[in-house]
Amino acid sequence: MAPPPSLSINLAGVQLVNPLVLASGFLGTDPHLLARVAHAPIGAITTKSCCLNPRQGHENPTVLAWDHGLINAVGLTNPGVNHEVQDIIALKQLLNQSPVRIIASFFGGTVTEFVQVAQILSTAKPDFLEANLSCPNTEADLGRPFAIDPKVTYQVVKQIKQVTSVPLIVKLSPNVTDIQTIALAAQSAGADILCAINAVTGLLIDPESGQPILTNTIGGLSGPAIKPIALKCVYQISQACKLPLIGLGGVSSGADAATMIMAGATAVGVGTAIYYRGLRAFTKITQELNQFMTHHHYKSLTDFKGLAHDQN
Amino acid sequence: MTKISLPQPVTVTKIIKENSHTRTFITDINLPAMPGQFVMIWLPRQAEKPFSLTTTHPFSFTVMTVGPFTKILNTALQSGDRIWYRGPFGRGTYTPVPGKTILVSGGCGCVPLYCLAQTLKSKTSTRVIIGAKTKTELLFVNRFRRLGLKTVITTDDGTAGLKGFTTNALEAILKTEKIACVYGCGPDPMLKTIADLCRAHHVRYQLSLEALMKCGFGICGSCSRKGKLVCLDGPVFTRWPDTL
Repeated sequence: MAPPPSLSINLAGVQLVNPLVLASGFLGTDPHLLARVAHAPIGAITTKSCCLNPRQGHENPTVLAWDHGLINAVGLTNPGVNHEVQDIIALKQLLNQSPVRIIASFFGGTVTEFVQVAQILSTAKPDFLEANLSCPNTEADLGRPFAIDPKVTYQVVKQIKQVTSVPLIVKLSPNVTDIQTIALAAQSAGADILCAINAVTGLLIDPESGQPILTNTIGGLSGPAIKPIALKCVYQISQACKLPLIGLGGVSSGADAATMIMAGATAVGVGTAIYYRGLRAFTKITQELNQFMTHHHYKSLTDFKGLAHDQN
Repeated sequence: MTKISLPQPVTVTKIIKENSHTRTFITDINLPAMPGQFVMIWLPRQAEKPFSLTTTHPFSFTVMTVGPFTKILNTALQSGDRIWYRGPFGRGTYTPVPGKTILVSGGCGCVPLYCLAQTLKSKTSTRVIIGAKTKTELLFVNRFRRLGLKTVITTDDGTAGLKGFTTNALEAILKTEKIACVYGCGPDPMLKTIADLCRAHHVRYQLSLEALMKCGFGICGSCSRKGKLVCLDGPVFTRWPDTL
């Protein structure tokens, strides 16, 4: 019998035992809860984005399930970077000898804040930093996301890279006209890895009251509804950039994960699938990916990475 | 049991005043749910918060004024008005245990316990300890009595029933009688004491916990307590989560 396929990947020089990554914002900041996810086969856990000072986020309703996924406008609720450093240290202790990597996600309202937070967060020694340039739900107080402008993207990434040696992931927004230009800006500024996509902006209205259901009115869509958009963005970015890519958006099954890799992703983010399949989503998706690879005689993920780009 | 994902409107048909700052809203629908499950109540352009079910047939819920949203519900909402709900949520619910049982209610913790009491086959083998700071804060005493449950009242200031905490009354019972299960809902310190007492006396317990909730279905992590999701794994737990 042939040996089982290998699911390990190399992400900018760091080994991950599995291509699946818990996407940022899911399951919050409690290290005990994040450690619970690490019992499943998973390559890395992304913590919820933090900023300099504690932030309450938006009033409920903030997260709703609808016909084809979730819509959320949590508003980047977080306890502030100093608290987050303690949480990451606690998470590392809970993970102990586990090979699961930690991605520390962060954001700022200004370039200066991004840099400050990156500096402080690096002291917790996460395996990666993830600059969230693309939250769709905080425009009212933080301004438009940095990831909609290539110049601002370049500027913030360049400055973050100057203050930290932790490999930097830059999370991009799908809510742009040309994602390739933004991805190239991040690449030329020194990003180590790109991550796409963040949530797609959307709106749900309650027909009975005629009012938006989310308190923030506009929210971010995730789940099955955005899978084709995510695949398109990952495909386009990998056409234009050399950087490794974490592809996410609507990945719910092993086949979904495989197609994200075929579009050009090295790793695959999973979030909303937890709503549909519970915390066991990672175990189930891994089993399905294994079966898929065995069925197609793939020995490793690189056997079919970027396959969708091959015309022959 | 159908779970409503997006808020659905229901009409309030009757409002019962429970005390000066607590009202029960009875709606025009039935909502099949397990005791301990909760719903998210939304008023457009206001806010959305979790509430335990008081009764399922008809669906009713009880609101104690503690903040801006509960104040709006308790002052502005009138019979004939609509409210929106989604749910019911929570996989951890109260489950029946044969034998003598005790319900321990602190403050508005009486709500899910009253929902449970309605489902108990033998009302006579169950007693309820109802506690409050003072007499005027006591809730649901007559509701439980009407169901046929024996009640023990405690108040912190001694204005009604025994002076002291519900857990003092519980301890006295656990020392002298064989109890099959203790069901609790109320403030954290009370629940922690119930867990400690039950462990010391080798008695099973089921506690309904509170936590800040946003999504209600286990995605956002807001309600995590030592890695346990109050909204999805709970709200009823058979072990105190901080000792897991």
